[in-house]
Amino acid sequence: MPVGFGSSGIFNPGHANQEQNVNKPIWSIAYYTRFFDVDTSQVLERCFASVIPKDNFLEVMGGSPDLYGPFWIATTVIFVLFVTSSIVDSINAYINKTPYSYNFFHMTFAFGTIYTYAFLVPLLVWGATKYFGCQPNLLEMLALYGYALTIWIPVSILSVIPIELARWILLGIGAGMSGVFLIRNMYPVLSRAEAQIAKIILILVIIFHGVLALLLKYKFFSFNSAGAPEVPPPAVPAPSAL
Amino acid sequence: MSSNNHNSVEADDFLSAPSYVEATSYSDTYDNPFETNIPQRTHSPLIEPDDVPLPGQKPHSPVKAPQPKVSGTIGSTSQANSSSSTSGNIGSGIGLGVGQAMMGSGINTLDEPVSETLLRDLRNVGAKLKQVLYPKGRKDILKDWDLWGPLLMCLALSIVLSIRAQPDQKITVFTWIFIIVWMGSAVVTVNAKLLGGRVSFFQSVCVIGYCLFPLVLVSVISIVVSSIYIRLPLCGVAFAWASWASLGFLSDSNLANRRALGVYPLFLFYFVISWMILIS
Repeated sequence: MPVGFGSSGIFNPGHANQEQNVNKPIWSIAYYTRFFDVDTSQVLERCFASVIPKDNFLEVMGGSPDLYGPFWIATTVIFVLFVTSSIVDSINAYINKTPYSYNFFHMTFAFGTIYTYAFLVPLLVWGATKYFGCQPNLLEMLALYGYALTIWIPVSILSVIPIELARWILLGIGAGMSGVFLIRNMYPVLSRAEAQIAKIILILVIIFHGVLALLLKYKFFSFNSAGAPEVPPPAVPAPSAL
Repeated sequence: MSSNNHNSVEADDFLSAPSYVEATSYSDTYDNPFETNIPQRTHSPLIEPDDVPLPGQKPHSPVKAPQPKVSGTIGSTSQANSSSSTSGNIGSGIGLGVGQAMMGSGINTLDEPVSETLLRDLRNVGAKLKQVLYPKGRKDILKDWDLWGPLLMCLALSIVLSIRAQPDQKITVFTWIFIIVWMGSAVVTVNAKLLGGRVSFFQSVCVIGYCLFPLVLVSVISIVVSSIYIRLPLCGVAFAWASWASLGFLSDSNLANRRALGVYPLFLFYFVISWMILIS
């Protein structure tokens, strides 16, 4: 058919699209609609359940993990980090009585960090657990890591407050809540491996998490980030961040 | 207008093969495929090339082609058309579907100067920009998508913001604004499609790009105005304006209870761009 890409968008999925799309080839957009089969209320419910980790998240998702949440939560965190870090910089400039000019590298750095953490790390964890026979689900792993980022949205917004102690407390709350959320929901999968290997993977997960928290702290919410060197400080893996 | 054309078409026995209409399966939006016969713009994906011989139709010589007759009938309406703007043509019939807005002008474009061709495109872009600034009018003007407008918006935004960036970041800012605008509109569109919305890809990219126009205006104003007390309300208004305009165009995308999920990325996209204009 000589019609272009645009015309393939005119399809009517309003009714019973998911059953039809199961047999679609993997390179078509219709194939991926099953990962975006969520309603607004479901996404909100999952976000709340990830911020306040009291229920088992896999039960909250009800066997249909989505990719909408992970992708857009990660993107939101990137943009919120850019916005708040520019506010933090301008506050610093105001306090130090220096002219403010924004640093665009915050944006690129946030893109790299957050997308790596939201997509590459769960992929690694999935690969490791798969290798050691834990039968993990890649989608669930991605959804887990993606929704675990939700807490960083309010934390980043509140970290605008120019009090160093408040920022550390907020960072601790954010890292702690999302860390507990991650480990609680990953534990059933990890416990299928041998105890020794499960412990190593768990520690790696915690280290990745601590590195993320410290990167966010030193790159975006530090007092003198306007004149800070471009290289991030050596991020010591500190499990105490949990 | 359409009945008029049908008469002349039937008289010529040109469209006696109904398979053409059925093969494209857009017969409901598309009752006058003859209007596409003017070989000036073939960018619409919905319209098949008209020089492909149809089944059951003998190839006709260009001299005997019924084009002059048809363009004559259309030309009677497009007299007013070419003088004012394309928008006059669009509202004239509900049957005019996607991608036909500019096709209706029956001007002979083969022997016109190049400047006239370029100016016609520019006038089209201008009409659409006007539509974005005042979204209450005809909504279907943006259904005839083009990528010139989004490209102009994107380039203007990138250039203005990179001029105002720090000296060592100019290239980075230009690159990233360019990437964010194109990738952003593509990702927002794909997201709406993945959620099950009825959107056409390029049409949505076109709408999102054109709706950047208020933000581009504010970014140009911010070159001379540096006071935050003026720029903050301006950026807020431009953000609301862009979001409102694009919402109006994308409102019929058939997303029942996941409408917020499709709209949220759009807000995020415009918010980030207006924020970058604000702090630049």
